[in-house]
Amino acid sequence: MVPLSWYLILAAALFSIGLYGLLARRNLVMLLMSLELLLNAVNINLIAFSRYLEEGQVVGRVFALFVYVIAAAETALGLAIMIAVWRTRQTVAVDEIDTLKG
Amino acid sequence: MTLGFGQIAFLVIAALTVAAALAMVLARHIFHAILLMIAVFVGVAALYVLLGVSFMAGMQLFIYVGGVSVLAVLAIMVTRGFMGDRPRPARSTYGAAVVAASVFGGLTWLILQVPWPSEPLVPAPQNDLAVLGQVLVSRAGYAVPFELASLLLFVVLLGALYIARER
Amino acid sequence: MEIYLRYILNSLILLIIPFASALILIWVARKVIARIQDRLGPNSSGSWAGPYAIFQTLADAVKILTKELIIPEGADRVVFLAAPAVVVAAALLVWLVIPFGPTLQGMDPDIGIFYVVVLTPFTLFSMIMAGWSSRNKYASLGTFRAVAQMVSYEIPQFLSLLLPIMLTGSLSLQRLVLAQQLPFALVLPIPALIYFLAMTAEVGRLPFEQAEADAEIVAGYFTEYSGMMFGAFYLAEFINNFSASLIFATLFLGGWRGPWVEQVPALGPVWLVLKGFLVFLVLMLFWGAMPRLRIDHILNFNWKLLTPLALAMLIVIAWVNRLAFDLGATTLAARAPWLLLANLGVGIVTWGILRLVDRRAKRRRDAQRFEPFLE
Repeated sequence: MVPLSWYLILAAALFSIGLYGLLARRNLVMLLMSLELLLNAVNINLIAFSRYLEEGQVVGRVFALFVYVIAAAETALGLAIMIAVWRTRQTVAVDEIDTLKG
Repeated sequence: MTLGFGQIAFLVIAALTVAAALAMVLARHIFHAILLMIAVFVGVAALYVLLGVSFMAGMQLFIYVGGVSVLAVLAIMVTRGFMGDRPRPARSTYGAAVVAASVFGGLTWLILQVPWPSEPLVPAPQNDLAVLGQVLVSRAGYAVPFELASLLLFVVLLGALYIARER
Repeated sequence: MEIYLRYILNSLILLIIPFASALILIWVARKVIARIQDRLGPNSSGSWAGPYAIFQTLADAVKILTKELIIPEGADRVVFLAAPAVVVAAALLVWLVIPFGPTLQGMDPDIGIFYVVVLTPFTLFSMIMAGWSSRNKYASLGTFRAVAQMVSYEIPQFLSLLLPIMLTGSLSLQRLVLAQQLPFALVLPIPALIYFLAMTAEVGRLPFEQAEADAEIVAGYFTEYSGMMFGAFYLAEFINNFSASLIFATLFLGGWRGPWVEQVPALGPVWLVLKGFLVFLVLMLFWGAMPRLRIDHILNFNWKLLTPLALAMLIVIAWVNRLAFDLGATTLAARAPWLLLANLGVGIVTWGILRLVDRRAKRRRDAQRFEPFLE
């Protein structure tokens, strides 16, 4: 069988890649997608932990399901904000949306 | 050390997933990024199958490919014309790469410090979706968070509609 | 050894049967449409096309293979070439789980029907890939329509899918068939109808044919495809039609169950294919007889009728089913009258509401029409 640490390292890799996307890209859609990568990494961890360490095999999956709910909500809201910003500013680059800056 | 079928499958899927994720954050074009993101989701779903939790694999594909990705494509269609993404000046990209690499290094170092088990505690559960469902809606289980999650979805969808509607 | 034989059998099911059935079904479809339109359809193209030109599709396939593959200038080559592969793969993967008999099934995963559900977004994404990479305005219009239509019709489809699952207590397709002491279509006529209409929209047949609408937007999302790449979309469409019909037959018409199937297990696939073929014929009759609806009518029909009705059915059936169970009706046959009554009740209420809405709309129309005379 695959050792648990392999799954954890893979999840860490996906998390770091998502973090890179969050820091380096400036398109709002790219940022949302990088966030999804982070959530996916978290879910891999939850399910791997539940599979290897948990007696009942249920709690990890329940938490992963809640993470899915959050992911769906976050995408819907993020894209709605993106569309609204696009209507008013004709841009989705995060560092051009700076009206509130003093 | 000889590699079993599961290990080889894991290594292949993991390599493809990480490659797709890297290509996604580096992609020039948003549409390519979305397609590569779907590849990442499919890879993660394959890992869930490998772990023996095929229901989570189904959920993963259903929510991410059927929901999140379609939503992203729809949003791109509504706001057509911005698909290009100018890259940032080099310095901040390097900074992000350094941060991400050090986070990865630190996490890996931490993970390797702990003696993790190499075998699952119990064999993969078969046909236990009923158990999962009962835990989700029983009062001793997660009924309250479950209802709160549905409330959250409802509120978020109303809010998204309100924000994105044409004025 | 036995496991390898099983793998080979599975691969055969997965590869040969869908393509072979698509070749025959294309001929059937052309014949049926021709008959509806008072034509002969394919009859004879040379001596080797067989009686009634049954091998016409084979000749077409050979011809289409020799055509040049044209990739339009400015198209995104990788995505453009990947789209037909994705659509064919998604169409073939469904066949893995269709239960042709008590033991004749590629595999029976514990997520069963959920696996079929999960494959639909991949078909949708192949359309998006084709439409986006072509850089053609007809292709993107077709994609807009395909996304809007497929995403909305998924909802009533899955909602009505939940009812057979609820009555069975399992997601496994084999268990779904075994639970049908009498076909679910007899117990749940309204959900079966909703599922059928939503399925028609999902496979993009008339009257829900907005994604390709050949009279307005050439061929929709696959306008720019030529040669065998077009052939891939065309084949996948027919494979999808037939596998959707088979899934409908499995879910609502009793699958492989039929008379004498206990004595002769080999009859299982015959019954299933027969039922699936009947559903497919209905799809073809729709194709021949229906006009093409406008996209806003299609979406209104979904959001204002099918989705609320499917939701109401879900709530009512769940409640009635439980009530009947508590009153001692433990078998499906004993609960059938209750469930039918519930269907009838919801049907009458829906009919009443529709009549009321229709009458109000007509009154408003009439008022507008007579206004000039009143002034």
